[in-house]
Amino acid sequence: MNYMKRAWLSVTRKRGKSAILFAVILILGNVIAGAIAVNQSTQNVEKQIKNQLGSLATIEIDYEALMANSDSGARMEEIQPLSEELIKQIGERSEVKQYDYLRETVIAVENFKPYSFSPQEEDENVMIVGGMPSAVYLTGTNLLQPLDFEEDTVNLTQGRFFNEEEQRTGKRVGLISEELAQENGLTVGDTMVLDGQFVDYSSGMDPEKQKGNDYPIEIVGIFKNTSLEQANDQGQDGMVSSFAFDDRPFNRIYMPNDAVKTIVEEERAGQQAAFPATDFGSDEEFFTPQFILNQPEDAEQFKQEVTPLLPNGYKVNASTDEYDRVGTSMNRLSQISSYVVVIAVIASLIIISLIIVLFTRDRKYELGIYLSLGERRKYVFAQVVLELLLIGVSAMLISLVTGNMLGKMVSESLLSSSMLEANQAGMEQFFVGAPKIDQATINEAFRVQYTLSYIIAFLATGIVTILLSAVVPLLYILRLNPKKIML
Amino acid sequence: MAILETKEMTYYYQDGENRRKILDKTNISFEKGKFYTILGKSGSGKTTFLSLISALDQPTDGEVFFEGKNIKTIGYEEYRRNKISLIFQSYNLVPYLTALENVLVSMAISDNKLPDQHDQIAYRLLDYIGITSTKADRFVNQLSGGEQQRVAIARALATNVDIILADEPTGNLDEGMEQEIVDIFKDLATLHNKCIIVVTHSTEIAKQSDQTFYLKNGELTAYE
Repeated sequence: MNYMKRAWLSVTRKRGKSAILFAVILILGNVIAGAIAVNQSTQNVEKQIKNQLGSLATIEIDYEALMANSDSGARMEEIQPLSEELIKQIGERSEVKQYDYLRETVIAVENFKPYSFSPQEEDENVMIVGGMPSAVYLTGTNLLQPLDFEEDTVNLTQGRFFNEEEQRTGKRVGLISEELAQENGLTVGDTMVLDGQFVDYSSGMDPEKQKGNDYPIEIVGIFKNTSLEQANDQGQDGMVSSFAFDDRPFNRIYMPNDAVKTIVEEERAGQQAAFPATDFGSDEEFFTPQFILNQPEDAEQFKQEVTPLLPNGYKVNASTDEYDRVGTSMNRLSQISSYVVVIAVIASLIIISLIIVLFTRDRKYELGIYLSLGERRKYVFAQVVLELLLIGVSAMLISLVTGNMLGKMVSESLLSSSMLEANQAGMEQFFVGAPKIDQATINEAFRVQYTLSYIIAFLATGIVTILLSAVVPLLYILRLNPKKIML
Repeated sequence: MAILETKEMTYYYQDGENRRKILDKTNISFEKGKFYTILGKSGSGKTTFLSLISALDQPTDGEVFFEGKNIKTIGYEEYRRNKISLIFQSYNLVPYLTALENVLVSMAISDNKLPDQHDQIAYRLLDYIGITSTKADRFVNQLSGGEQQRVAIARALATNVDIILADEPTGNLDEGMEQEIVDIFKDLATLHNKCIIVVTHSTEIAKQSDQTFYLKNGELTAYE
């Protein structure tokens, strides 16, 4: 009849008290389990979506900040290009798996057909809003295989990547999208000619145009924008995905950096010659560095530590930012569930402590008997804790199942109600950026499931809460004086 | 040779700002095989004396020795666990356990080497004390007062200690039952060589003991 058997007999024979404690722990356990289930699920969604979004980080000019602080902050003219040394220094950080710095430029074209999303505009896509000419986007890379391909945001479907010689000599070779190839009837091995035009916007709403340089580029590979396709597939029925308004990913041409460099130089010289009266700015080169991080979770640390190193006017963007912008409802749900866990744990601590103290006071004589018989105080503690664990763990095991169901019901109800509706810049994002995911995609990915981490998190939280609840009753037992009780 | 001995044992009771002397330099010794009674009026300090020699409390001054060893050195908890057994006026049995289980509890707590098959020993002890096996399997609150006190005595015997201390063990029992309990104590002293120390206010019990001490004004004197 050691303390373990005493604990078992106490639990099974004092059924009323055991039932009360069981019911209380079951109710509180359900709340905690439900909240943990929701919290874990939101974290899983975040992880899953961020993994889909990839672990790409870039350093770009912070146009929003420039516009917001145009009076007091840095002005566009004052922004210095990022030095190659700084890019290399950042690229050598431990979070960075691989890096590249892109030389980017836009070439306005005249007869070459960029891909346009809207079929009805096919014939008119050379002139869109306000007389803006159609254009293609040259993206120079230092790598044989651009990072976008490493990240699987684009996949090579035909041809090859650049070779060492093409990179070294800056040969004008390119990788184009399937859409652009189709639009212009191009295949691998063809040489496309970008028939540029020089445009002077200084005259206002009706820009002046002149025939520009022709840039022949040999097509060595054709790619597919996989991330855009995935995003489209995951979009909610009946909704137009926001990326659809952005043609840029389809009109991007990947080239060796030096090839883009020579085109930029020719373009600048030609433009200046065509419009000598207009100042087209300095010859400074602006790079867009790209960093592939070891994992998406590294993005926050990377942003925090790299931002102070950057010159004024720059910011770090991570592919995972998309989640933070769009996943507002999930973030709120995660926040609410975290609060519920904390509040429920505190409430459980107080309520269970009080109940056990009351029950222990009732058992003063019983515990006094053990102490007067010479029982070691640690075994008296152990008996009380074991009784609590016997009841608590059985209540928690039931809560593990019912709490999960509760969490599922509550989260579904919250997500479908207006309570968590995102206060996002919805329409603004439709036109300005090219988000790869939307809120519907995130909500679709949300699943309250039984995962090992949920089970471990709940059982650990529950057992720690129960053990902490035993602290006050144990202090009471510590103060028990068998003489005062028994004699 | 004395199995239990007090030397200059003094105890003060703190009553608010007043300090009341309960025991004054008490020197007394007890031997195995004898049945002792401690007599005294209510409030004379009989129970305090018992609590000191049972290590439920510690004297203000002086010492208690068990087989020549200071019980402080043995350790109060260990002393209670392995050297003595206590019987209380109100039995103090664990209510949700059966009579048998109450006996088994004390056997499990004690470090004394006891034969295996605790259940059989406990049944035999209870039977010896007058509790049948049917009653032994009942919860203690289903037993009469006398039967509960018998269970308490069986529990005290279960750890096979030499000293049994009892605080008014017959205080809640009728006369007939009182005599049966006293007879058990006498048997334990004479037949089983135990040292039985009973605190009581009953002169009838005192008359049947081998030695009686009278506690008055903090002094314990042998009663002839």
